[in-house]
Amino acid sequence: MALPSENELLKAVQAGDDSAFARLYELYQERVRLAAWRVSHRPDWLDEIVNESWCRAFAARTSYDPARPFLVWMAGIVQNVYREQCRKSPLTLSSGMSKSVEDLDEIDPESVASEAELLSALNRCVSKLSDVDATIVRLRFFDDKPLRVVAQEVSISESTLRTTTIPAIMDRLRKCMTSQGYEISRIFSAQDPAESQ
Amino acid sequence: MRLHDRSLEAMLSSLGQARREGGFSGKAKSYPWQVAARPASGLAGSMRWIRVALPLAAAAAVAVVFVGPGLFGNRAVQDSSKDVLTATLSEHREVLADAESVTTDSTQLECDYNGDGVVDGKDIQAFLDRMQDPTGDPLLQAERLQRCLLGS
Repeated sequence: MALPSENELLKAVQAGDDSAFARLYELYQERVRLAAWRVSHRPDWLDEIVNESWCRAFAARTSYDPARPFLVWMAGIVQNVYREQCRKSPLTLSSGMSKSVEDLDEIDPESVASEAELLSALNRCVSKLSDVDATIVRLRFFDDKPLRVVAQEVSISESTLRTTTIPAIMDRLRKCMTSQGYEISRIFSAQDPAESQ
Repeated sequence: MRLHDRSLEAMLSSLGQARREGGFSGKAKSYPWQVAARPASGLAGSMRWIRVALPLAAAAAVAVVFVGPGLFGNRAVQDSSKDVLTATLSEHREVLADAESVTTDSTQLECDYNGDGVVDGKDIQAFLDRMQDPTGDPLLQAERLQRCLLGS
């Protein structure tokens, strides 16, 4: 038997189908977590925000409008949960790590959802890279290491890394993103402006 | 979706930050709404400690009743201790009923303070007499007698 499409799932959720909601959870949990991260930037609150958001979504599943993107609906719930969390623990906001409630009001759920979608898609593309390419991405972009250090780690000359390897990786990522429906319009430059001088 | 404002480099940087800050994590073993909707089983789980705590509390009350008067020799303390024992026994009768009957194995014989071959209430006076021994640790001895009387 063919799996139900996402639209069918959304309609089933709206009709109160628990198993359809569970299936949506499987599909969306990573992106909802990313939305929670995007909204809060609070690693210590993430689990609580995400779990509470799913609980509320489950409780309100019959009021969900299938015409609205599910992730946008979830992002709105995540923002509300985060606001409440901030009110409960106002002092923790002074850490500077998290987003303030005022900042939150400037972000709409659509933006949060689209960024979560984007990061999730990019993560999938990175996971498809070869081990060496993935290491380069990790060192250079995740850990923000200078090209010189990355070159030493992967035993590739710095100039080759700059002119050939990294642009090729970026091209692969760009194609991968395009295949998932995300078009990266700005041309990437592997060369750090500071390093090029 | 066309992305005009963000370079791939910036997105990768965000992705790295999300990874570092827990934006990606392992799959949960159960659905959050199911975990939240389990008050009955959760309560049962959280009450499990009572099965351990109640017998301990009862044993402590027994110890207070038998050891307290010997230590303090105060009638008021004795009376209140009896009240504690009565209340504890009536409240936790079922729990105490689960306790095994006293046996006469080698460990139990060590608790036979009056040497009559049976560990029972008559050993308490002998135990209290032994408490006068300045070389023994009264707390340890009280604990041992308590275990003997409860058969645990």
